[in-house]
Amino acid sequence: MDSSGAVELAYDGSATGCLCAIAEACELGEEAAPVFVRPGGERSLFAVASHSIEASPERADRFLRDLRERSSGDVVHMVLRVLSAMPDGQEPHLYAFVQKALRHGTHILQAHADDDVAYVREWARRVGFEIHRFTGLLRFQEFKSGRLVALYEPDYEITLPLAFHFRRRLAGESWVILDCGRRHAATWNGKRLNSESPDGGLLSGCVLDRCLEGDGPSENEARSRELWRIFHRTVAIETRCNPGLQRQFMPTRYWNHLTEMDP
Amino acid sequence: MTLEQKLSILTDAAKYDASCASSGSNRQGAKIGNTSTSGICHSWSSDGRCVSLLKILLSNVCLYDCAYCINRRSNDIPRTTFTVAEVVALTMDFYRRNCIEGLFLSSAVYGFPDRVMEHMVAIARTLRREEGFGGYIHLKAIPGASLELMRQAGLHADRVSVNIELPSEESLTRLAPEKTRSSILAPMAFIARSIHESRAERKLDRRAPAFAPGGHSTQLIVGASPESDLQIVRLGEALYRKYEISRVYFSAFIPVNLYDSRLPPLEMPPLLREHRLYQADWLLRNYGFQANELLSESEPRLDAALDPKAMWALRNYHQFPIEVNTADYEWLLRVPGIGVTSARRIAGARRFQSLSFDDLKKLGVVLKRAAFFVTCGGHHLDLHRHTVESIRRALTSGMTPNHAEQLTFGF
Repeated sequence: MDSSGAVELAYDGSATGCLCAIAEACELGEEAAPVFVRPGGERSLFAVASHSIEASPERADRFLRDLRERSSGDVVHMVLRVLSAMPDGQEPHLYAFVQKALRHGTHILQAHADDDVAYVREWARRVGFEIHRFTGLLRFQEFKSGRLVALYEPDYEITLPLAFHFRRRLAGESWVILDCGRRHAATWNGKRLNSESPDGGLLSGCVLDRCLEGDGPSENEARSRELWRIFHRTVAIETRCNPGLQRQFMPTRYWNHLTEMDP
Repeated sequence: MTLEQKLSILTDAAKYDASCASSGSNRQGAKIGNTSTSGICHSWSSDGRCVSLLKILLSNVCLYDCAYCINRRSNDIPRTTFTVAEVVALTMDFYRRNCIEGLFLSSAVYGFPDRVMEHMVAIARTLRREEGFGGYIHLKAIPGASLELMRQAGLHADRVSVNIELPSEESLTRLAPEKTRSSILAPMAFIARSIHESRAERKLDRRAPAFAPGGHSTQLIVGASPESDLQIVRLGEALYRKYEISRVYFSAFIPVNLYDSRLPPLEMPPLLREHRLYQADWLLRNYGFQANELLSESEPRLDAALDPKAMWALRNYHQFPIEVNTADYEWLLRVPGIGVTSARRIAGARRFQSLSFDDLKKLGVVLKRAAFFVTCGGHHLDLHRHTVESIRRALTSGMTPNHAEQLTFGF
């Protein structure tokens, strides 16, 4: 591929960094032919210039605000959903999508046959689907302190949107949602999300470990789990047995943290 | 008897009810729990059905002797009844752990219908008032209970429903002698009217009490009695129109009482027929079809090999192909392989560009079905060589248009 005249934009691989890199690309203008590089990514042999982009939350915020004003909240929402997944090779599509959204406004979302729009929509759909899935599949355990604790391993970074759901649903409870793979957590104490965290973002797993120290499943917990297993086992109709269909809706990779699928 | 044993018995007794929907209601601001308009599935059981609600019977002690029912009084099975406190505690325990979206409570008729219904209402009231529960509650009304109790049920529950059980009055008399058509239709009509009035009042004043904001549904058994698909689909259509019902559920008859000679001797529940009826029902509710377009006195059965939309399209093949770039949305919906989502996408995308077959694929259209019925910018995929018969063969064997052509012409 001829990438002469290309400008290399190296960023730290984070969602914030990616937004800053796209913001930079937009500022360079359309002739710049940006090449986005993550840490460990392949560098361009032909780039005429290379910029190292700092991941600045303020710059990312400014960029999203501007995008919202010139297109819509829906467009920004789509971009954020894709960034929850950070799929390989997302940057050119996201950059092109943003350019088109800035040009056409929110109507661009209707251009389903456009490759970049289709790409963004598809990844936003996957992330949205996983969020919806876990609004159902997440299981809380009751701890001795009365706090509810949920462990899970999602494919994408969805802890915050899930926390927004449970903030409404379990408003009067105090709970923790822990993404075991990424070691990220969201907490709710009945008033505030992540009140223990000074910056208001997600907690790291170590902070969580400290605040759960000495706590553990409550006395009721084992019986409650057993009752749920009894219900789940009994509600199936034997003559309609269809485990393949069950796995299709509830893939085995989620079973680790599901009370009813736990042997 | 332990709580574990009771739960096991009363879940087993409730599992044949098909409904598990938790959608249509939007309850916010309670101490614990809310409902979401689209509903949420929390698990799937080993039969592949979704688990959204704690679906149990209050009791399986029954005075009635309905031929198709596992809980009929002639059956020698363990019997038990939950207390109000037990159901409330189970619901709250499971809800806090996010196992369920709420409660679906039904019951056998263990005494006067009013007494049973009173207990059910007490459970809903305790959940709402004492536990501050804002999750989903679906109560199955007991035929014969007073309308005042129905009213109270509707004020606490998100959905109140009455099962119509069998598609005709004759079958009901034959198989469920203690139930009558009027004991089922009277509460259904009352619920429909109350929902209608409550919605109208709430349009004027948001604070007016909501009556069953999630609407009402019903269920009927397919294959236990001789009614045709035409009768069943027409019945469904009438229920949607007359009672503004949200959903009609079909339950393939499962022969649980093999000794009863009034029932057909089936080896397996008629699952395919149930599936086709759901597809036809879907066309009625979301695709603008009418019962008499799909079936008629001369053709009263749905095609087992073809889904009802493809069946309709082949019978009306003279009206195809349609041009995707110009056709009305209503017509797009009628093309096999194009669903509500892809029809909407087509309507949006064609404002930006003229759509080709490749574009349709990107939009999620199932081309191996739709290609027989549409053109893109005047082009079609060798459509002119096909006959209704060859398309039918292609659709039933899952072949693409090109394969079908090879078969037809023996290339």
